[in-house]
Amino acid sequence: MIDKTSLGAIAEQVKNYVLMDSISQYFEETGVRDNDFKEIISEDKFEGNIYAVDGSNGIIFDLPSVSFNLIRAGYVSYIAKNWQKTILFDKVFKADPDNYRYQFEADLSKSFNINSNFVLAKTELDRLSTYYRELQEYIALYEAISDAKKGDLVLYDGDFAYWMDPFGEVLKMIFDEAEDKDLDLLAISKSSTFSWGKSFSKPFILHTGYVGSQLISNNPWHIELSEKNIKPQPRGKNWNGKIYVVKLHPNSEFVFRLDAPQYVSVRIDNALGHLSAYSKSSECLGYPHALFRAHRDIAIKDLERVHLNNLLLDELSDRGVNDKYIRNSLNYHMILEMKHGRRII
Amino acid sequence: MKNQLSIIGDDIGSNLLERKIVDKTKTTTYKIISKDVREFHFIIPYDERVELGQIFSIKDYSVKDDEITFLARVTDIQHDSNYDGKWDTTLKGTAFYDEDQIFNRVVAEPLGCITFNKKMGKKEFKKSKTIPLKFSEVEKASLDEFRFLTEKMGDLEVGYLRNGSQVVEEIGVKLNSEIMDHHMGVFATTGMGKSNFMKVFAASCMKKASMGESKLGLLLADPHGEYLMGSAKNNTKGLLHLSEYKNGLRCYSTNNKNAKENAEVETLKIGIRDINPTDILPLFGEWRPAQKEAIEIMDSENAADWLESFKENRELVIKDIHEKTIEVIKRRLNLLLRYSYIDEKNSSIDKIIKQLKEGKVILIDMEGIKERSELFLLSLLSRRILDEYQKDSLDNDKNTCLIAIEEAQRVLGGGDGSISGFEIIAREGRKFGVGLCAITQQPKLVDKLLLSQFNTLVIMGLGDRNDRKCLEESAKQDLTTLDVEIQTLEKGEAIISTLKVPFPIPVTIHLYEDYIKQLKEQDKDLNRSSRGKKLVRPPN
Repeated sequence: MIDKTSLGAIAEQVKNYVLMDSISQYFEETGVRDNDFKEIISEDKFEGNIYAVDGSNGIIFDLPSVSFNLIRAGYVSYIAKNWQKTILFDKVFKADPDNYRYQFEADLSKSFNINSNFVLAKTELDRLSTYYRELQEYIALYEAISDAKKGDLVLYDGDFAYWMDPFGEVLKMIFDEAEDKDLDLLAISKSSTFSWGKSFSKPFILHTGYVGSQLISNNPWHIELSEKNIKPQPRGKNWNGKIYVVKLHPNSEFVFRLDAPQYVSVRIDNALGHLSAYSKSSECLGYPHALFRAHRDIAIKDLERVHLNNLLLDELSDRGVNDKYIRNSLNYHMILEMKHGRRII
Repeated sequence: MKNQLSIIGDDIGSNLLERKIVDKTKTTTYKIISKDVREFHFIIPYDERVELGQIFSIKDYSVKDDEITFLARVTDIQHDSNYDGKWDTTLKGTAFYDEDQIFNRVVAEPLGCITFNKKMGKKEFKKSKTIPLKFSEVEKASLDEFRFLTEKMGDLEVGYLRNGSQVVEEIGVKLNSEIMDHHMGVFATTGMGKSNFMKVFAASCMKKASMGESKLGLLLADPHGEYLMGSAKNNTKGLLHLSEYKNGLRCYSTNNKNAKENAEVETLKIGIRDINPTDILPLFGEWRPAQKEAIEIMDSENAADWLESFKENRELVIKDIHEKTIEVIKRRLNLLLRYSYIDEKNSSIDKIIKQLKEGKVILIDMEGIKERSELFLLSLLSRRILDEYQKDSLDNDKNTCLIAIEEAQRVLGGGDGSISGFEIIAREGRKFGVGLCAITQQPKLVDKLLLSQFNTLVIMGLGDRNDRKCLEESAKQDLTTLDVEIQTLEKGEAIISTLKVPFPIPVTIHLYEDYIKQLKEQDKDLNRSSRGKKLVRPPN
């Protein structure tokens, strides 16, 4: 057990992380100014469709060198407050560091007509399924954009700026298509690693929320982050868009990072006006409701994952591979973690 | 999903395994989603309504040649949603968007299932031994799905089938006169309709008797004078108002005035020779052990003229009994002999028993007499009836008899055994064709062993949980799931659990005043249709 003194020291550090002791220091070190915070005028009469895209990833069979993942991406569509439909794409991805390319290349070719070799840096190979989920989300996003019409709002759960590689070409196609259709494409992140502070990395989004809410308490607001001293800086080589921190409802406790492609950034007030108008639901005040629904509809629940695993074990059994063989093939950690029955994930 | 998994192989990754569209046309409402053989769950939109007790049907035609329609009764309705946590107590926003994610979960108890018997070429109702296919559609049960119940009903109509609070007038609920010797209990808190039920039941018995079709004699004591003429104050009618079927009714009264004012009412006479020494036990308060012992000694001597002798010389001789004890008994016997219904020469009892055997309704009007007198009279009559029916125990064709007792907890509470006559009927009456109809608002005060002898339970609103629990523990059919429904029954609504009917039936009891109008109408129709033909009904 860690003694109370050590826990106290940790708590002190967490406190420094969570709380902001000096607004002036924040302004000084981040380069943010009072007048960077802009009120958002909610456009309640927006009558376009709202699309929201999300993805989910669940391991259904895990072997030491390879795992099989259920990847689910999809989107929901709303007309104003009324949910219309949810489209789901389910795929099983074989995460094999030595044989992963053809799965990406097949999808890139089929969905985006991109026929180049797909190669990830060695450091990224342990995140194969995350990359594949990302690709499926872009496929869903592309379809949502195809489905949308001029003036609609298309939301993506995540960010655009960091992930330009290795899907830069894909994102460019997506942005071009969205721009051609003249719809507002925005990415909203539920979490962000942006930090500030010279001696201690402090949460930038959280503290910007504190400051902004003191400056503008009765309205939603946003702040654009160009040339602010935050870490890490967006590194996508083709990224021309802008990154914002937004608070979409004054009574909400949460602020979010928001990425807008270049063509949307020039009319961001209008796009955010639409977005805030549909971030007023009781279910998730201050968060775009369509993204809330997308998250719920698309998430792979643990029960579903286990069910799929059991079905897979049945298939293996039909092929003469019994539980004993399967156990022998598993990473021993999994044997130790095995709780009961046939469950191995 | 299994098929999808089986295509994993050479082409993994390039195959889109599944693309699903979920839209408003797809819903899981009104579909079975869980749970097990004893409990079905389905959900309904949050702004739609179902009621406790409502019966739904679930058609499962998934297995060829084994098509089943399950019937299930709503036992609970719960708020539910796809959201976890306390979302509903922390609402902050201006509007709730995803109303499709909030719903009511309906818990229903399977009542049984209707299957098609190919050999017989007809539908059969059975206990369900399986569960419906998941996502089987749930619908409000239709009239056709209730029709099988008509075959299970008896001959004494008391109301209509109720589906939730909706009355299904096409399905009359009828008790079976042939099983009334298996005893009946009528339970309800004050004002929920016990008296109305008894009048309706009696009216149906009168109708049968009047038509010459009765298989049941009913003895009904009326301590409050409400069954005879009803109450002008409450605008209710009595059994005498059903004049069309008065041939099925015989009335006796301890009240001379009532007898004089109504030609149909006779004065009740209890012959002095009808009374056994132990019959007087209920008439007086506490008896000391020595006094009881003395009474039992007198009883064992079987002297038919014991009371007559006492009346003549006002003396009692009981061996080995202290003089003071005898004095108490003498004093009490003197009191007994002052009661107006005690008669030296005449007795109504033999006539009453004969009429019961003929299947008539016997109403004993006891308006104005004290509770102890009422118990004494009922106890005496019951003993005599049981004795007489015992003598005919080999006669399988004789009508059964039902003795109704108001506030039955007074005599069926177990305990000191001082009033054992009714308990004997509850335990042994069935063998001789004599049943008890216990009417009480406090079933918890009735001895549990005796209560378990009651095979027909008419349960109206019971607010006291202990009363309900007591009935649930004693009933032949499982009533535990109906606890909330029983608690929420409206006046005139009932749950009837009886033999030969496969599950406890929700009923709307006829309002007596409406029922007699209906009977009168039926009588007119009967007369019209039989004009020119020989009357089926015997003359009054």
